[in-house]
Amino acid sequence: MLSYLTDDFYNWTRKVCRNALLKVLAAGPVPLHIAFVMDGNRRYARMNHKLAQQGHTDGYETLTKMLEVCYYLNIKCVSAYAFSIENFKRDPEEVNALMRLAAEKLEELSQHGSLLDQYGVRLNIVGRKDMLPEDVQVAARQVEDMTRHNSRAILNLCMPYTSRDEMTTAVQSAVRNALKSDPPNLEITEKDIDAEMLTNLAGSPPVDVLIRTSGVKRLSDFMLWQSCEDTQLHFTPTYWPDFGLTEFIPMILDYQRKAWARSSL
Amino acid sequence: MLNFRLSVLLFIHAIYALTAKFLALWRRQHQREPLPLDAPRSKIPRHLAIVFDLDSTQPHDKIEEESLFKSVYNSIAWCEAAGIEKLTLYDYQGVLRNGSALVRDHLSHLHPEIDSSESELEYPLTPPHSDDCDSRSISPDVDIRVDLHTITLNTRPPAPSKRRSIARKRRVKGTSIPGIATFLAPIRVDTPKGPPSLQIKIISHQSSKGTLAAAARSMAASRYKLRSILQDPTPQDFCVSIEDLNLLLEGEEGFSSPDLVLLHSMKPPIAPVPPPELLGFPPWQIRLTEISYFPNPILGLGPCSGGPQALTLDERTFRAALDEFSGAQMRLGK
Repeated sequence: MLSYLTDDFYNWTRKVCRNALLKVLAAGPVPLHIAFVMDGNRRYARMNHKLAQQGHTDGYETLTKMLEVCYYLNIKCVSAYAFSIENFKRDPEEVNALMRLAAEKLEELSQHGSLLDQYGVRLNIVGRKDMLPEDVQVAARQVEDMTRHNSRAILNLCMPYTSRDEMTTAVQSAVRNALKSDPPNLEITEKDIDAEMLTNLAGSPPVDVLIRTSGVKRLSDFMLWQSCEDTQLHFTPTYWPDFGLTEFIPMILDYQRKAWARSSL
Repeated sequence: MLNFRLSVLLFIHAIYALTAKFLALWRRQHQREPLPLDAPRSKIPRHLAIVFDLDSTQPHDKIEEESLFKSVYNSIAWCEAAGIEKLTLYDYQGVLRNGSALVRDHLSHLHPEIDSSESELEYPLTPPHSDDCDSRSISPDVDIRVDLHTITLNTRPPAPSKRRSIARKRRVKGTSIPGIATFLAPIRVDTPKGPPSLQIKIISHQSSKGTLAAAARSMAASRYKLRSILQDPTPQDFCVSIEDLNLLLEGEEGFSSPDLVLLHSMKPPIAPVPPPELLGFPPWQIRLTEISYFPNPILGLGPCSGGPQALTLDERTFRAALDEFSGAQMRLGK
């Protein structure tokens, strides 16, 4: 009984301290849009003698925790690389487990009182939705419809997604639009392509910070268009399930230094 | 209340800056000496790109330009020593593109046998075809090409008899972008033996997102021309695949994806060192590229001094990037 009380007190104190720290951080400029490449679930599982599936479940917990932190900081938009089109090459058993996890968590997110409900978050599934199994598509549609009118923040779950696929679709749409216009306006510009990017169609602001965990230093076909110009890139050796405020706060401080330096020019 | 929070935040920033300086000094003391340039490594990049971050807040002065070109000349020598086949040099503003004649002169000096003549060339690219769509997107009779705004130089001596035959000029009205200054020193021909070849491409922000718009314009124009031939296809019939676009942007004479990109800041060193940024490097070509970033050495705890030496890319950093690359794992989604 006493240990429960101690645990509760410890958790309560921790939460109060965390929220106080986040309020201090929010006194400075915060990024409008943060993108996460949640890498390292399987290596984390191997390191901790867990099944790969458990690694992905722990990874989802970290995502929920980080979303709460981001929305508490008033970050307008978060994008997460949940599943690459290339990931379909993985062992079918693992792909099926990941899809089951996606359907389950999407259903959870569509419940009233969920994180999205609490923070007024609109959820967008960004990518080739047609490649998802039927039950995941249904769950995705349900949660997208349910959160369509939320306007305080955005969550882009990129699945199944690759940036080259997104750029190609954007080019295709821009050409179709140009040919459809009357008279045809064939002078397609960078802005026309940009407007057709899936993230922009979903109303996301430009990506200010991109974070990749697990020590890998490449973008792996994620948000190439969105992050090649004015985005701070962070590559941290921590595996995604272990990612937390210790790694995240210096990244926000780095962004604030950039924002202050820019405003002083 | 907000002022109080802001004061606490500024205090946190001060602590962070101080910690970062000490950490940078500690790392400098304890970093391992990278392997020599020609040391055997498990893998070396075939194609290396170097992104130079110039100080855009100041007008480009002589010191910065000197350091920039010194870094380029050194990089060429290091690439040759390490056996790298392609080197792409990028700066957002196009200082390197504008000064490409200097690089060419340097190469002529290094390899007097190279032809240093300049010509405006645009290389035709294979017309894309789409396998994913029911309708044929683009007719093979129509030339589709994209000006990638690259300047290509080659250190390999050309075979005199075949040199000119390669330099075909094929410009298409309406698809090229004004201001093109593309020239190609003779490319790989049947030169029997000689020093290892290093192909150098010089690019700027012009080769970035704009090339996708140029590709779209080119495809739209050819599709429009085909309307009458293909019984007036509707715009919805137009399809393009990743392979189509890749052929246009990375085709035989396009600009291929580098294996490794090394980001080098020419700005005076500060602590904490800002996180890396790609500064407009072409997005299509950075899909699986390893990104290396070694912050400038922190020269002391006081105000950091600049000077050309501090801005120039040093061999140690170059070797450390090769070491890091040789240890990287490529999983390709699996």
